[in-house]
Amino acid sequence: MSNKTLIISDIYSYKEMCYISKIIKENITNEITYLIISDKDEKKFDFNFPDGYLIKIDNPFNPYLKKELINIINQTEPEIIVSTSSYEIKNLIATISVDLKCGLLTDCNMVYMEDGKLYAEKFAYGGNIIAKLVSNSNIKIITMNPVYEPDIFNQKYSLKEITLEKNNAVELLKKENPMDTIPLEFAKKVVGIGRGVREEDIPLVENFAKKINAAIGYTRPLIHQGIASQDHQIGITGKIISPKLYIAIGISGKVHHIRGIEKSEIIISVNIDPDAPIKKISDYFIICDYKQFIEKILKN
Amino acid sequence: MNIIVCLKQSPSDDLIKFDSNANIIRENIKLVNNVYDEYALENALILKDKYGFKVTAISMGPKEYEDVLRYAISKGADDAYLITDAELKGSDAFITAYVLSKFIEKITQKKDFAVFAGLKSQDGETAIVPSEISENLNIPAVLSATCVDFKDNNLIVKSELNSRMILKVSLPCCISFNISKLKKRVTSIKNKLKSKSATIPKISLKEIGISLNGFKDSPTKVINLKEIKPPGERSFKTLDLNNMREIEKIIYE
Repeated sequence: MSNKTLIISDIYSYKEMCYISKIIKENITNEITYLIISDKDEKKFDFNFPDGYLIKIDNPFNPYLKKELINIINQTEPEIIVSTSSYEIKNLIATISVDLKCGLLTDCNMVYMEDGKLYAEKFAYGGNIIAKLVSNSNIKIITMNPVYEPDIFNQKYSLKEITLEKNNAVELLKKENPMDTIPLEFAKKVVGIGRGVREEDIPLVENFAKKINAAIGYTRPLIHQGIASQDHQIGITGKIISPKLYIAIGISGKVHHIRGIEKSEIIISVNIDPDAPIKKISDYFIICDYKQFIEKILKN
Repeated sequence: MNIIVCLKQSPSDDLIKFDSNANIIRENIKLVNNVYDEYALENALILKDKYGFKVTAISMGPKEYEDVLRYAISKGADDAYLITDAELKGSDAFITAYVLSKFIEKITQKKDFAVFAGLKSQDGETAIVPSEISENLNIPAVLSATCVDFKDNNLIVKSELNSRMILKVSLPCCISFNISKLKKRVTSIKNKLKSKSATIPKISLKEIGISLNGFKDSPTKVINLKEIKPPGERSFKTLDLNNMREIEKIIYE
């Protein structure tokens, strides 16, 4: 078994791809091929690319994308396929897993070999438990949770570029690219909003975040209530963040959330409940009504 | 057209508890409708109101899942089926998608249909089942829809991911729905009564015409579970509103 590995990432998940690459090199193999999927000109991005393939695409749901990926798999014959975890990439990976009749291990944090067999690990049951997983399929297909690593490629390689034809089954009529705001995972300061914040007060907390120049994230229950979109969710199944300063407003501290913020340098939590579990992982625990706290800051 | 809506239940975020072997305690646990699926259902019902399509709710799981199917009927679904079979215990996403696809094939005869599902389950959050269904049925998939309309035998789908897109998708297709600002409808008395008296057929694997075992045939397996240390504790300093100067110093540093 050569453990040849194909790593698949979209251009926005470049730092996650670097992390995956590091793990695979340390634990599995150096024989890696990369596939990057991009809707932007890669020259606009200020990092080095590894050797591999680049598929330029406007429409992430173009069915030809899967066809091209199958071509690449046939050419490179990987035994392991590992990808980043955006929904677009997961959609692609899930369809090829059915096409190749191979199982799929999702949202893992770690992959490694033991007695010649590949295992993956993921958080289970809200983050108190690590599940050790195995795939019995010929090709092991794994998606990894977002963890970030700075650029690890010290040289620019050439990417073999593939352009997709339009496919009438799914036709893109209109597309608006995201505003160029700092994504949560790269922000230096982050304010987290939890269930302790009343819905009508959310604009107030958002103002506070703006004033101190911080990005905003939410706990999982607030995302389920439709308060904000998925890419603002902090926690195991959302974003794992590592800012210099994290301020938790009205967050009790479920493990699912804590695992998403534990890499923060300084954690301040503001809570009216003196026994809120979040205090145990805080550097500063401020017992007060969040409204008074914010109003004091906004006043100055 | 027949819109097949896939629904499930999951333990409420607050209520998941474990025994000493790290298994979920399933006795007496309150199940809630998977919030993402409710948006798939509401979008299907909007199309039903506008174009007269038939809406069929389906689910795969234990007999308790009948509740979410009765809920779908109370909101306006025309009929509902529950795939339930002891052999399905231990199924992973790959097997789940396969069984759902085979059943969808059977009830639609692969003609004139669309599959609507939630973006993901609120407990497992893997988000791969809708894509796997689409591949099993060999139909296109679009994820994270917030709005959908029907035009010239296509669906016009608004999808909100990293970018916002409007896509024209040919039928049949599989669409997964995200949470949106859409208001869920009020249940009418007529539908409420209908949901109480409706018969929900229980479908076995034999009736779908497939034979498998969830534990044995799932390609992925959990080898073991181990409890991990709680996240790193810090020696916190307790402050209150009288310490604002110190707090501001940290915030603005």
